[in-house]
Amino acid sequence: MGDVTQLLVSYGQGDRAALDALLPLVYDELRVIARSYLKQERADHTLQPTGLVHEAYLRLVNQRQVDWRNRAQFFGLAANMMRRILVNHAEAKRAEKRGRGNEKVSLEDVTVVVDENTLDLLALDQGLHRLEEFDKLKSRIVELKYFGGLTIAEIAEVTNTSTATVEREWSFARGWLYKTLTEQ
Amino acid sequence: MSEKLEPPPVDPARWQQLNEIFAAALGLGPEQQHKLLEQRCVGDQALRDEAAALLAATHVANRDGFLGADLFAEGARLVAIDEVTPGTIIGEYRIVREVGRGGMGAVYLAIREGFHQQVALKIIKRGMDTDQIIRRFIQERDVLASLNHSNIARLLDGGHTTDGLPFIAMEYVEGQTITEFCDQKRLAIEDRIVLFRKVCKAVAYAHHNLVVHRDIKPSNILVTPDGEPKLLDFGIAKLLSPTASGNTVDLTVAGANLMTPDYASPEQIRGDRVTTVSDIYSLGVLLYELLCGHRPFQFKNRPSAEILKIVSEQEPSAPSTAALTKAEALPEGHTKRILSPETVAASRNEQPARLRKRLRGDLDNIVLTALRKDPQRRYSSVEQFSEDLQRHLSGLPVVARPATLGYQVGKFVQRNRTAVSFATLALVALLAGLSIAVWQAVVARQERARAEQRFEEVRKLANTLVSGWDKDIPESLVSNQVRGRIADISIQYLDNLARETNDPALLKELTRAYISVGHNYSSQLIYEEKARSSLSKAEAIARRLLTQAPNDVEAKRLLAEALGQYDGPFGELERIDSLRRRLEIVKIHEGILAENVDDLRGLFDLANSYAHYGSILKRVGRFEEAEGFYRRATETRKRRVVKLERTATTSEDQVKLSSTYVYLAGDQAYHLREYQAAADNLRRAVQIAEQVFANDPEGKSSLFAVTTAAAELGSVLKRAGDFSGALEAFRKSLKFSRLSISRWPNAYNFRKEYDSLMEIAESLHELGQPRAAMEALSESFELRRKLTESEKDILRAHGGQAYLFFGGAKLLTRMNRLDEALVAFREAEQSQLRVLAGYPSQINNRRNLATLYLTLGDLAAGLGVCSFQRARDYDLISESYQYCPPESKNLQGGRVNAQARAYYQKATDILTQFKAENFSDLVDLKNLDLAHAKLQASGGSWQLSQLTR
Repeated sequence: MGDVTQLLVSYGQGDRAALDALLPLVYDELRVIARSYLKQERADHTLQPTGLVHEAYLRLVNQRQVDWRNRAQFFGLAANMMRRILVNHAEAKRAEKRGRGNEKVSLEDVTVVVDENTLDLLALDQGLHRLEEFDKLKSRIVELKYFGGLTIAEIAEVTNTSTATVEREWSFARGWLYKTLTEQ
Repeated sequence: MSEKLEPPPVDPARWQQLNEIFAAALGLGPEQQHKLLEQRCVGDQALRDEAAALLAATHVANRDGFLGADLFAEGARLVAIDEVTPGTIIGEYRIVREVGRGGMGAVYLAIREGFHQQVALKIIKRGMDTDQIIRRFIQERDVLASLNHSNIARLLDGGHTTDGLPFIAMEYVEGQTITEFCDQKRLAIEDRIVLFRKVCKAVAYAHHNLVVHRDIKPSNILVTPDGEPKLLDFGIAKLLSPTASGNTVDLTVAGANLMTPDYASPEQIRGDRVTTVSDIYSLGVLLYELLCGHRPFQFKNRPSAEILKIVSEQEPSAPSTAALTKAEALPEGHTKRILSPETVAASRNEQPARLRKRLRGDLDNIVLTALRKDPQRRYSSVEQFSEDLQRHLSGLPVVARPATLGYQVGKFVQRNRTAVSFATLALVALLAGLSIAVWQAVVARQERARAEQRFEEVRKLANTLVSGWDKDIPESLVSNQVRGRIADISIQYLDNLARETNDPALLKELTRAYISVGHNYSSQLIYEEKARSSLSKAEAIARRLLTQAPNDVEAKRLLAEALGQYDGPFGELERIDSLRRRLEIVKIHEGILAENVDDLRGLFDLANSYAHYGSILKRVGRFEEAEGFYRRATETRKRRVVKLERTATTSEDQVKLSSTYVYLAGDQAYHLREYQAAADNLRRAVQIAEQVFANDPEGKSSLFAVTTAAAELGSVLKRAGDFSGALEAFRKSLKFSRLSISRWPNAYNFRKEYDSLMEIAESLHELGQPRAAMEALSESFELRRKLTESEKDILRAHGGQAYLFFGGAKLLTRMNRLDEALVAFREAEQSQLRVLAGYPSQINNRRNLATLYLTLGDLAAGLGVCSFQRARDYDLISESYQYCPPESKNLQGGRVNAQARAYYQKATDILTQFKAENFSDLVDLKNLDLAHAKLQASGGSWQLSQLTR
């Protein structure tokens, strides 16, 4: 129990119970975000997802206690949750399709096409897991960028590094993932 | 994907090199990059290839816009549509509507297709499905499936949605929260307590199945229109905190849907380990609110640090005081309203002043005991809590008071710590430390294999703890406390193990261990509650095993054994329960035997279970039924005799046959008064055992068998009035016990020499040989004194001394050697008092002492010892009445009678106390009447009020 700031601090210190308490909060906020994001998308606004996540964060915590490290934790959780939601959905779709002899699941199944190339989301998830094993920062950057929708500058702030570092790591990670995925 | 080979592990140094090359190459043209690689990768072709491939991949990824967009919008769309809409089919269920949402999941009302059955369907929300949460969800679902109680919303089904999310289907309960129900029906305090006790019963049931609720609060307890409470969300508070329809949960933080802390125990708020006692605290908060309308604390909108401080430090005001305060009410699901003394009293059908009076005292004490900060100082079980409420309703004194017995015992151990030997203390400390360390390692589960190995270690350790250790520690005042503490530690181990496993073999081991610990606790009445709780865990596990494998004979036997252990030294506390358990044991053994006709062990167990049931029937005065069961016992024993007479060839089976005859004769003589048949059977028992012994003079068990059978024969013949036959039998027993003592000087069971001598003395007296009788009696006293002297730290030795000297004193009285009798009585009294100091509340010690005083009173009054001389059996009690008319002239006035009066007074005090504590059986009650009558006749005063105190 405790307020969100305290939970974020505890989670930052490795407290699993704090994460259990945090996840529902993050999820509920994500739902609010998602709704307003889709609404403004339809209205053809161009507000960044980060703006919404940031708003959500501010709603959750006591204003006076806003702390960029906690905010980073929050962004991290939100991005990670998005990733899980998307991956699980893809997994469920694949399970459904298996019966129809369709092995590969592309993002078409979740109704998105990325730059005319379809992407095996599950393979990407696997690749990220592997990357995380020996380079946590890179996998986190990919998660924040690809699933959390953060800009390079925002990721730099969240990960407490320079934009140049984020650029470089992102570029490396992207190349490495591409190589890993195409080698399969 | 899992079929693929794992890629080779990445070498950190190489990864670092790759990163450096990549950083340097970034922004360079293809040719410069090529040059760079040549420079940096001299002699390392593999590194060069890898770097080149990476750079090439980066180039293509860039060109093709790989991961160029982001999936946030797509994720957002999925989240936004994450609603299970009415009509959706999940498994066999069709969603009707959402009834609650919160925490990690949502609850829907659904209908089982084709069955018109309404269920509450709980589904983990998308995105909440981390591995850990799912694993726990499944684990808890399994536990819930084992709960089957009419006051607990049942788990009906479980499965997965097409999205792979686990769901559970629960019994759908339509009703009001318990607080709403009580207020709306304007239930009086008594009715509220009755309803609350139903809740307690359900929680206790769950605790016996090792399930802790963790989130007891009104919105989790719905009362159906016919007034039955139903508990929801057992043990899954951690996973899902959905709220029932129409209710909202207190929000501790704006926008955050956290569990309300108003009902949470201090340890829960601190984040410490949650146990069954935490549920007791939450039940205490609930009872508080049911009684006085307020909650002990209201935390709405307070920061967590403050909540923690209040719940850890601030004592709640007593319900009787709170009932008279005015506050804004925040019951779950209600719109704000003002609680005033008048509204509170009115919804309880009372006036404010009368309500306050009604709550003051007992109910305040009971509630505040449940709400103690220190979990160990609360009620130790929900049953105890509930029973105290029942005591209050029946007008009996309640257990709740400022310092509990456990607290006092703790203090006592602290005060006497120096007396505990250093080595023993060190052992306890070591084990306690180890327990924590090993256990933490297990639950952390960081390395599964290692955890499993340690689990094995803990299991071995727990087994060592519960078996074997106690035989090495002599029984004494201090060692009993050490014993109790070791038992406490063992219980911790076992509880932890029980939570971790579902393996039947291990569960059986645990059951045995719980029984063994329960037995160790119950050897001292001060740990009665712990003994009970340990046994009830054994019982619960055995029952669980049987629901999984109804034909498992081993599990059946374990259940019977656990049930049988309840009747330890405290069995008389609940004779009704005792009867119920004993009957169940009978049924179990009948069942086992039916599966395996004429099995030796089955016959033995069944016969004993009949006899046990009979003995308890006798205690409650149901003599005819008792006799029926003793007859069944003898019939069963006869079947065993017949089978063994036909098949026994080994000396082991022959000894079994002999002892079956002894058991058979015991039931016949003492319970059915068939002395002739009993004596015949005992002669046969002696003959068989003697024969085996003659064939194998080194055999210990045959020697023991013949000693016992001969002594039993003597007793039965004495009863039947054949004193010369008795003398012969006792002399034979004496001969064999002397033989065994010379061979095995330290074997406890063989030291019956002094008993035989005492019996011989009595027979000689009856046969008119006073001198020989006195010689035998003196020798018996001497042997017993010597033995006690050599074992003076062992309480059992003093118990043995008290018993022998009491018997001797009675014999001396009959021999008209009154001065010597008085000395012997005093010695018996001293020994008995010593045992009592070690086992302050053990029933038999106190009963013996009361009888002793009653007899001493008779002696001092010059009545002679007539009363209990021959009343060794309960149904002979009326006989002893005739012997001792209380209106005897000897009881009138005089100096001697002052002493008699003092003894009668002591006997009366003990028996009165006994009755107040609900221990008395028929004989005790008659003794109390007798002592009372004699006390009055001898001019003493005895107040009826003492009885009710």
